[in-house]
Amino acid sequence: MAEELKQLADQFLQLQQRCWELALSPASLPDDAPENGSTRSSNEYQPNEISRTLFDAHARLLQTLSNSDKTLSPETLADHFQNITSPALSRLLLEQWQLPASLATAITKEQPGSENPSQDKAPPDPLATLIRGTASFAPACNRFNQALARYLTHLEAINQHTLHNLEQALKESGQPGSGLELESLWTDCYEEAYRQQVFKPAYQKDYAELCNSCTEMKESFNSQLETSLSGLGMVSSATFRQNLIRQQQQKKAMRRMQQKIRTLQEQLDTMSRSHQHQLAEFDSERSILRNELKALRELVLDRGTK
Amino acid sequence: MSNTSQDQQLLDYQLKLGQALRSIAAIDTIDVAPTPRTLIYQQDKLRLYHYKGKAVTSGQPPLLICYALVNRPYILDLDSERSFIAHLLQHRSDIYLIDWGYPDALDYALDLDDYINDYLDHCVEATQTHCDHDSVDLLGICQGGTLSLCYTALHPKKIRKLITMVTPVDFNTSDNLLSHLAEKIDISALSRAYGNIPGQILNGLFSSLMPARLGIHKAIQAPARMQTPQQALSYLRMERWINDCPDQAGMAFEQFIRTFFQQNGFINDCVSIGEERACLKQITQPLLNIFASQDHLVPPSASRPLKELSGSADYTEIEVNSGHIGLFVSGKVNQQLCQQIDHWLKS
Repeated sequence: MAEELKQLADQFLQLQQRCWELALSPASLPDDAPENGSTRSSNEYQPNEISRTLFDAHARLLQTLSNSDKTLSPETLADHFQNITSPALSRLLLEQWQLPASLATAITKEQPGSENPSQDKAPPDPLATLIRGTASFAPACNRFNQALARYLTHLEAINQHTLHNLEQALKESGQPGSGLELESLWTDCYEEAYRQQVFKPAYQKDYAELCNSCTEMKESFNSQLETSLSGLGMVSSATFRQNLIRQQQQKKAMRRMQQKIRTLQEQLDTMSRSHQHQLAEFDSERSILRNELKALRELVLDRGTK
Repeated sequence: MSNTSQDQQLLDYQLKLGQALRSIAAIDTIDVAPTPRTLIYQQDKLRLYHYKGKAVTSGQPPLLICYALVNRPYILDLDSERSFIAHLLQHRSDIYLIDWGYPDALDYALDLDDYINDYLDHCVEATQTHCDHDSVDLLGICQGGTLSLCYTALHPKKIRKLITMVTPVDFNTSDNLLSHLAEKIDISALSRAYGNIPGQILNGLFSSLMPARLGIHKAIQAPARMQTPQQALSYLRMERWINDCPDQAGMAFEQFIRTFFQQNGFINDCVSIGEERACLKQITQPLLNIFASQDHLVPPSASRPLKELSGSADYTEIEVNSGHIGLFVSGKVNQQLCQQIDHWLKS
């Protein structure tokens, strides 16, 4: 059974990997030529490892169960979910918020619930050690860890609530016909529990704090990096952005001027048309007057002759 | 479940996995956007495409589609069987689609004024010129609908009729989870830290609305949905689109989140684009508002207030029994919807 599960897990991950490669490969859009800068390089994409982590953890549990006579208690399941959710969440956050690898190592060493055995065997990262020791970075790191700990309590509540929902559902509908049906039922129960939790103001506050602390860490890291780079006489990204803003403001000013020119041109055209109309009327009147004058002269001449 | 039953299930699943692996083995690339189109205008990263339909709609203004900035517009033309564009072309002779492209570091300083009063305005003008028509019908989708509402309020003479699809108007309804999650995010810090906002962060946010269903559940169900090469391709096209989240120009994104998600601009009448105020009461054009009853991103409650807020005396709404994306990728749904849109445009 353990061997079969391992084979299944391998195949599953192989399928996932291939799907990722295909889905994230350079675009096969007919008109998006790279020279126009509209296609992204596949190097920008990194496969989301979250499902791999979760699947690995579930496979490990199933393997353990298949090798023994153990049965699952709700407590064991709750612990299991919490144990795999915590590191998976950490990995997801670090990947999603694009925190540099050294920074990520620095954080994961201190994270609550971080239980990746392979990390402990890895050689120490000198930059990560340096970052941990940097006083200016420490507050951001601490806030992140505190926010993560608070957020994990919500996940714990969701996992507990999911199991409660699952127990109720199983009591009502009986044993599911297959493992896939059980998984579908678990998904329904999880989403229900999750929805109830995320609409709570406390969850929203802690979620925002977690996101803001990730941003703060990134900002703190950038700030140190920029200081070092500017020390070497290089342009900082802040200066670069300020220049972009100035350039954009100039473009806007030019656009407004072009708009004004267009409006003035339209007014000029209107006036010109109106002026031409007046000239035409004047010409017409002048020609009438000329004709009348000519007629009068002829009349005077005619009377003089008589 | 007995051990025999478990073994059988495991075997079944393994067979499906094997078949799925065989299905995707022959696939090299995932082609999308099969409907023929012509590039008629481009400015910076933006491109405007023209689709020519066989239908005769003489005298009718062209239809310009304004898609969201946060995802790619090829969801409207994912494959020929379920293409929203192809179905629309059965009724319309000229359709134009804006592709905003992928903003990069140079686009950081673009704001909503640039997107609406420059890019979108130029697209409207290019469409008018290309089709030799004085006005256009505008169809805005999701965030593109919000941009279209602002544009129509600011440039009313250029738009004959306006259609909004799955467009948020009230960003602060109680069932709008995305809005609740975005409300307390320090958007200035985000923009400072990242410059342009990475698409990956947004993708993570969208996935976090249904984490189990869109995560492990989808992965477990995947083999069953890839039993033939055709099924696999169809599944992978969708996966490709879901993960193809462009980065967002920093200042425009910051302004969008602050104005709409945090200040609920349309409701509180505080939307300023460039130097002008964009008020929905300024929209007096005929208005068709389409939303999906099972939309988890833009719930119907977020779209419905348009009726009361707009200045249009000719307002129609259609509620479709679908999800946010289902509206565009379910062949059956979008075929019927395209017919309704065409009927409304001709009326």
